[in-house]
Amino acid sequence: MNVVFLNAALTGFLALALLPLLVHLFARARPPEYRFSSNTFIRRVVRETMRVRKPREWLLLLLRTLAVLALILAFLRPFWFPQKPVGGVFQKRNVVFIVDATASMAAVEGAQTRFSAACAEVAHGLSGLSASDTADILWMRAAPEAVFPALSNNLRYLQDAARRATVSSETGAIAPALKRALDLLENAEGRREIRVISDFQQSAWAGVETAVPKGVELQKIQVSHEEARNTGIIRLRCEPESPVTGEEVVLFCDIRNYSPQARHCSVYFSGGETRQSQEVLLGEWGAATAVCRVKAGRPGPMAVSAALDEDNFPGDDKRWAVVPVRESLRVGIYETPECPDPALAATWRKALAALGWARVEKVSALDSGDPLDILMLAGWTGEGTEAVQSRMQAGTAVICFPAPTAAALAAVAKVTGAAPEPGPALRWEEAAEHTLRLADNKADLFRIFTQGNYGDPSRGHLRARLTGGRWRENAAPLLEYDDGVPALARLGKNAAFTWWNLPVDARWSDWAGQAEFIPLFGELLATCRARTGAGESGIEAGEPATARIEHEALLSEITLADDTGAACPVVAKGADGRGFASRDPLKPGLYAWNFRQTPIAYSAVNFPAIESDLRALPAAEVTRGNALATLGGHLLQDANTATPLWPWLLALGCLLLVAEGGVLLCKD
Amino acid sequence: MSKPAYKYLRPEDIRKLENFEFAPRALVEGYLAGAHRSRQRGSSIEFHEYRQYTPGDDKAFIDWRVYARTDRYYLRTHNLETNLEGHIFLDSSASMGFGNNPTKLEYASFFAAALAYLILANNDRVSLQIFDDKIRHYAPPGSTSLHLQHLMHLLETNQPGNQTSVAEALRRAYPLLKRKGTLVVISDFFDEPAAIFHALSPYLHRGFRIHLFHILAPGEIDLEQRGLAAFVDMETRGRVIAHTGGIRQAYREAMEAHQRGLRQLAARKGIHYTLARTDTSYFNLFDQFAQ
Repeated sequence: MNVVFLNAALTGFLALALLPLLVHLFARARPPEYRFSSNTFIRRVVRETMRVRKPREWLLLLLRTLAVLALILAFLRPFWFPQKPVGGVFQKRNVVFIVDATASMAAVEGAQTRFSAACAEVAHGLSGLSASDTADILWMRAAPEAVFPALSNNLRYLQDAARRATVSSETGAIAPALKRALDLLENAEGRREIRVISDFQQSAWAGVETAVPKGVELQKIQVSHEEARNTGIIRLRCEPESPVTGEEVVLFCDIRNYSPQARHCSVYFSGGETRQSQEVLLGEWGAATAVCRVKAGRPGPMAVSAALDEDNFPGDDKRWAVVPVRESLRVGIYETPECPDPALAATWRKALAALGWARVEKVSALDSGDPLDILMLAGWTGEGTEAVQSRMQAGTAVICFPAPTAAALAAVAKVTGAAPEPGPALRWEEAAEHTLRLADNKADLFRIFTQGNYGDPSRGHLRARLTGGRWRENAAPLLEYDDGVPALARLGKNAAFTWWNLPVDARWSDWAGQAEFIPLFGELLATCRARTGAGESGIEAGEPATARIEHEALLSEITLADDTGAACPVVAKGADGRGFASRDPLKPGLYAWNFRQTPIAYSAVNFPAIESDLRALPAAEVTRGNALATLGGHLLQDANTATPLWPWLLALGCLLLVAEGGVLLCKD
Repeated sequence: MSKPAYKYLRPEDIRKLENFEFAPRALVEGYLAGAHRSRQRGSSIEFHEYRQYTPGDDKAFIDWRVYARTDRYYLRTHNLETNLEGHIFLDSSASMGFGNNPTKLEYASFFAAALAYLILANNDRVSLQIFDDKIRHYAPPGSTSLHLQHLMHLLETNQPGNQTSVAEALRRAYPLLKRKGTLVVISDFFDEPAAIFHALSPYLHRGFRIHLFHILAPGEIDLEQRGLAAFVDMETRGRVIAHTGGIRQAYREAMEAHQRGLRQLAARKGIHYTLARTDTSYFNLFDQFAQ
């Protein structure tokens, strides 16, 4: 029988169908006594009418019993599935409740959170099981966790667990949770049911397949009733990712409005010694980025944060990042004999030494593996292309003065993705005197020159250069010769590669001797790194925080504390005594790693951005995959698969009652 | 006659009864001079007529003064005045205990007491027989105030008894009645009509005037709506379970048929039959005697 009772907990009320029979029997057995003068006539009348009355009474009894039965069955809300094979209605039941405990379930709807509503649904479902049925609860978080390792009939404990459970700030692993539930049901005998209780958040559930094997019923219970509105910070990133002391760090805070109304909100930045706030206007379903500039302080980790005014869903109203501030930049200079300007590398070294915040390292081989912030290539012929590429991917900016060879040009095109214009090959040309001009006067490189305090960055005369190095795409020229030949350009999609076509040897140029050279050079180093496109630092809630310290330490010497100072359990990670990790998944916040009570590192744990969008899947999407879906205990009819029988039963019950009345009237 | 306070003969009832006269349609024979004329000629002070003497007449009634004037024998006849002898039969079976305020027995006792008082007030004689399936109490005819006191005592100490058998009681009472008179039977007549009238036949042959008063409570004529109930017979203790809604109409019809049968049999034999509902005044019943 392909019938599912949504209110199976009320099955016991079927016994009420015997009520008319019991009333009939007991009423006849002990009717109230009435002392009457003489039963002579009553007995005669009863004897005469009994012949007709007896069958009528049985008919009435039958009609009443059927009417009560039909009405009770209607309250059980049966659904008939014409195709879906399910277990018997009265078989032993094995139920796994998959409860969404992700961050979006903390959204408040009405007087309770979605998670509270989900736990109430679990308790309701458990109360409908008999003592012989088995069940388990699977909390769907980043790592699904079951209350019992196997199905159990200790339903009271499960109800307590549902009452005590708290929502997490994590994302949910849907597929692993479903797989775990199927594993739990694998060897169960009787009816096998999975009930997924969730808000069916659109951003997490869209396109997720929830197919289950034959013989397992899947019921989805949606506990989100309305379109919850929310505004949240979805990303906080810093440029440069790893500044040096005193360098300006730009904080980019991406804010998203998940509501159909435009909203004003204030963003509060905090970083180092800086506190700033900004007003942001967000369009309906729109996004905006608030920017704040802070100055990197002392070397070491610098915690920065951005926050919004708290709304109904406060989890995503604050975000943290940790910016490692370093004392100096690591700049490697790689020089080849093919460099047409023999003074270039030396000039670079001198300029770097003059800056003071850059530490020069000689690079003898491109694939040496030493971490660098900037790699300066003097006369690169194209060797070690893969090594250069991997360094760029690791965040190293490259400033390259290539050798005048086709191979060098091809290598530049390969590592940057920029396409050279067809024309004459790259070659070194010593020709007439040229001057420079700004190709893009709004570029960050020239920002300090806009007030005129640092002179003209294009001042100077040059009598030699590389020609043939023109670029069609993925190129942003900064300086160019008076005839349009690029002198300084950023190549590649993330502009991490700087094309240098400026001789510094005194034979061909007085440009390096100008007062503007050192500021321009410093700005070039600073801005070339800022365009590396670094993403958000930190981890998402649900992941363990890790730290690696520079020296060996005992586990007892390392503590992890949240922003209130509360300690979190720490475990060692790795065998070298330098790696540590939090034992449990952490909630969003800023955590400090302390060595002997002294902070040595920070871990920023952020709210998963995917959980900020609280919109739920439409009902039609929830029911996809032949699952029976209910919304907060109310039926969403799946017209394609299930036929509700209760309206028919209700009508039948009423019809039987009308028939009973008719029989009574006929009798009278 | 003194007017002591009795349960079934209250002073206010007595005041009402003083305006009544018990005037049965038939004159009955009595041994004392009374208020009721008899068809029998006899010695009395009230002149009736003269008629010629025929052989066999009592010569004592010849008016000799008329003979002296006319030389013919005329008899002087007078209406004989005789007393009424009333016999009250009161059913005191268990079924008479039915009803509320009053019960059928109380109603019948009120009526019997008033009737006895009225008869005695006319210097007539009255007897009382209380029966169920047998004669439980018998008070022979009497006409004194002491006799009334005795009757009232019998009525007041009377309680509903066993099963009804009107016919049996009538058969047993027959030898006790020496003179004919008016027989008043007060009962609910839960008995076979044929047997009742069969038992009344000897009385009719002796010239008794018979009045049957059929006492019924309203709840017996039309069953009260009590749903499903176990009807316990007050006489036999037998139980019948029935739904009043289901049998009410049929019961009413059966009761009406029973009353109709009694009325038809009574009419056929010249017996007065009266249905007396306990929710009506028993004074109305005296109208039957005025017919």
